Amino acid sequence: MEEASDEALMQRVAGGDQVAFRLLARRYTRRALQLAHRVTGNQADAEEILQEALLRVWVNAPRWRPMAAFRTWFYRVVLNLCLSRRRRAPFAPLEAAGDPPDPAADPETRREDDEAARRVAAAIAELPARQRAAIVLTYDEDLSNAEAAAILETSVSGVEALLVRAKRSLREQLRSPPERRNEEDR
Amino acid sequence: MKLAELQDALDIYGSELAAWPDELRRSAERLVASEPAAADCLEQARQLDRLIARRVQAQTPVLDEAATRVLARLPRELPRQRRFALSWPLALLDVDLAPSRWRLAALAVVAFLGVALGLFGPDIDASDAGWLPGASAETTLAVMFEPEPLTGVRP
Repeated sequence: MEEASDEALMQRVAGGDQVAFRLLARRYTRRALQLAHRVTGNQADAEEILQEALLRVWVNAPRWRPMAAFRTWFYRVVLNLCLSRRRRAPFAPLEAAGDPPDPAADPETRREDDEAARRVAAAIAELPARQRAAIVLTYDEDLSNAEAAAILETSVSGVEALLVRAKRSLREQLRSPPERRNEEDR
Repeated sequence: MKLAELQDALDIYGSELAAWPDELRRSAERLVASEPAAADCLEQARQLDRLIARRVQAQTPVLDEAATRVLARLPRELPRQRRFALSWPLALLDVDLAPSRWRLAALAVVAFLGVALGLFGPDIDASDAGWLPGASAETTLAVMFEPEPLTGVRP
């Protein structure tokens, strides 16, 4: 049987269908959780945000109009909750730890590569929230700049400006030697 | 294209040139082929993209457990949904008003009929007032268009 579209499920949710709601929630929880986690950098926050976002979907479903894709609308809700939430704990980039090593590279290259990856992950964690969100949406979620703009409630050129600024910061972080950065951090 | 423009485009569209808009890609390829600094720029952008992508390593078990926790925490009795007191005006939002061939054709036909009727349709004047049962031209149209008493001007 063909799977019901998000929009069809939302129509049912709008009519008070809890089964449709739970189906929709199951469909998006994992990815939205990943999005929230990468933007907030905190697992507990991400789970709370997602819980709240799902309940908002349920409560506001009768008011939802199919003007945009459900995914865009839902990610917008999640992202707004992420951006409006103050960080409770210092960002702990989950990516900083153990990436699978490249078996083709020699140990020295691998070590350098791991170090660079850690620095990039840490630098992304330190970006302003909207710049980080633009990176997360375009890289992690693999969305187009136009889709990211719809979720961030800005124009495409707005997203492009966020990406340019974010990558400029990341490049600067990569160029500066780690020792200097550590001193700057202190 | 200049080097700074290439850098901006790399930041906006990523280092995978094949995904760029055609014209921009061609300009970038020309620049990269002709200037070593542009080639370096592209290589650095590729390295940065690779490093950003490395952090996207999915932590499947952690995410799956978290997703299960979130779904389990959803209340069995969901809160009351918010509805508009007057929801019927919202139905107007669902009316598709975007231009389409059929709608434009219908509009054109109606406009044409309107003009044709205006130009060639039957005129009603005082002498036709006989079609009103029990009324004569004097008691209907003439009354409606009586001359102004002071000036004698007819409307």
